[in-house]
Amino acid sequence: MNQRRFLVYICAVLLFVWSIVPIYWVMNQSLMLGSDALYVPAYFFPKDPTLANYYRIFGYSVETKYGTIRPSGFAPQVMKGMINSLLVSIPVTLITMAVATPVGYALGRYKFRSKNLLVMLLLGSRALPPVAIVIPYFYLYQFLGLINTVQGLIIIYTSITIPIITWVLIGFFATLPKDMELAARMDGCGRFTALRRIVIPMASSGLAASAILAFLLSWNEFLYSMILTAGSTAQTLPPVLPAMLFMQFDATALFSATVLTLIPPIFVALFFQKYILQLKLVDPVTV
Amino acid sequence: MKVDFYAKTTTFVGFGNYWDAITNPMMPRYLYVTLRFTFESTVISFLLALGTSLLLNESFKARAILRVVVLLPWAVSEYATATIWRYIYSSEIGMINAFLFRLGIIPRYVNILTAAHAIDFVAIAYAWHFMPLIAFFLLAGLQTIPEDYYKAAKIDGAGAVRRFVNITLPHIRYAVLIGLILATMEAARAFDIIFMLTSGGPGSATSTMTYDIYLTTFAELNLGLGAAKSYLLIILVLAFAVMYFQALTRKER
Repeated sequence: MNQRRFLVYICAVLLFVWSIVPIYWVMNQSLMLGSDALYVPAYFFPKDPTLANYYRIFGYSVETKYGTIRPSGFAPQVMKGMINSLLVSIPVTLITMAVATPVGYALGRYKFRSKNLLVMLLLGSRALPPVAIVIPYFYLYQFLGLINTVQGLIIIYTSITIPIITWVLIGFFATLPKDMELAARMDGCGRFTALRRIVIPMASSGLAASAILAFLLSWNEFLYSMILTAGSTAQTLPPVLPAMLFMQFDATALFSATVLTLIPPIFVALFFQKYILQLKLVDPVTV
Repeated sequence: MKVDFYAKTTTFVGFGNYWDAITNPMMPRYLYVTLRFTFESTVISFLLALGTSLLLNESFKARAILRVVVLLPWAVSEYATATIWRYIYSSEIGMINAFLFRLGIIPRYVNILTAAHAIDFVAIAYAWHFMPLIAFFLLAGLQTIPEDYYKAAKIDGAGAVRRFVNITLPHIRYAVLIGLILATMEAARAFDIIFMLTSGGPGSATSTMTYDIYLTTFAELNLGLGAAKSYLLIILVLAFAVMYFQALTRKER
């Protein structure tokens, strides 16, 4: 038995290292000044750790041991990008929850004809490659004047989030106990009142987890925002990274901007881990 | 349809674009890279996820912390994953090179992303990002198994392997299938990771079908051909999906 304990701890340490080292590495790089960050062979721990790179991408100049460092040329894009990312992600989360909650409830609680087909279609929408979908959207958005707008991005993001969140909520609603709702219905509650007063409060933790997931999905989306907003005033945070990499290479700005994009995901991992196992993965087809 | 951006005209070419896409001499290459990437990243992330979920199902100290840490790579976006791993593999300032060099294993920096194996390393980076999702699916499945089953099997003298095959696997079958479906389809659709990690290079060693579609459409501005190519990709991904759904529904009976 002791041998097994030992094995478990060894595996746990390996898993910890595998998961954390890449994230540690980019943080390590982002905390060093240019010539230290690009030093060969690389430092495993930040040499003279400094937040100078973060000041740079937010448009401040910093006094360092190598003299004054000017703000990064990408500073306006980073700041505008963060604001736009929030302006997109928050409405997407709200719209997704408003649509997915009733749909997930209906599909999770009631049986009706062609329900399986509907669930299959929800999952099937995931089969379409974004790089293929974006071509007609690109055309359509130019025609409708939605290209380079935050609204256009919100619309296309909900087409990603709604199917996934609905699918997650189907499983969640299907596993909630039915007694309370039935009792409320017996006492004369209508379907909507029962949903609003009984089911949604019971489901609040699952709904919170779904909302976090929706936010994360839209925060992390890359291709649509690059194709549909890059270079415009509606540009979100993701397209700034390839600009730093391919257009005008700025290594330390790239490292610190990458860390910046990781902040919401890290919070999500902290909070979501409790909920993710509650989102029971029941087979929506057989429910 | 052939679109000319400068003259603002469109010409109907029938199935010409599909013919161009299929007869393109690079097409088998892109297909091969896509399939290799999909297969490798699915296998790696699935095996890692299986190990991870079995480990996280054990009770030990610091399990709660480990669960958070394991979930982290999944929460990190695909493009950030690619950016991070770009500087892990880099032949100039990469972490792996620095590590091996400082340990004295390699005398000078080596190029990790060679034409022959770059796609394998991209698949590892992708598996790092995708593994936690499958692991938590499997873990959710594992937690529905009553402890008594294992006790009973032990009393009956079943070994660890028998217990795994006869008790664990049947219980997590659905989670396994969903995990495989998602891993395969997401990998076949993956674009961000290729774009930010290798940009299809060196040469065309990591050019998947998605990356080729992107270049055709938004670099060469050949929208018609790009659309034709994306239909071919959709057919490929749907073929995977149908295959899995067949397996899913057959086993249910």
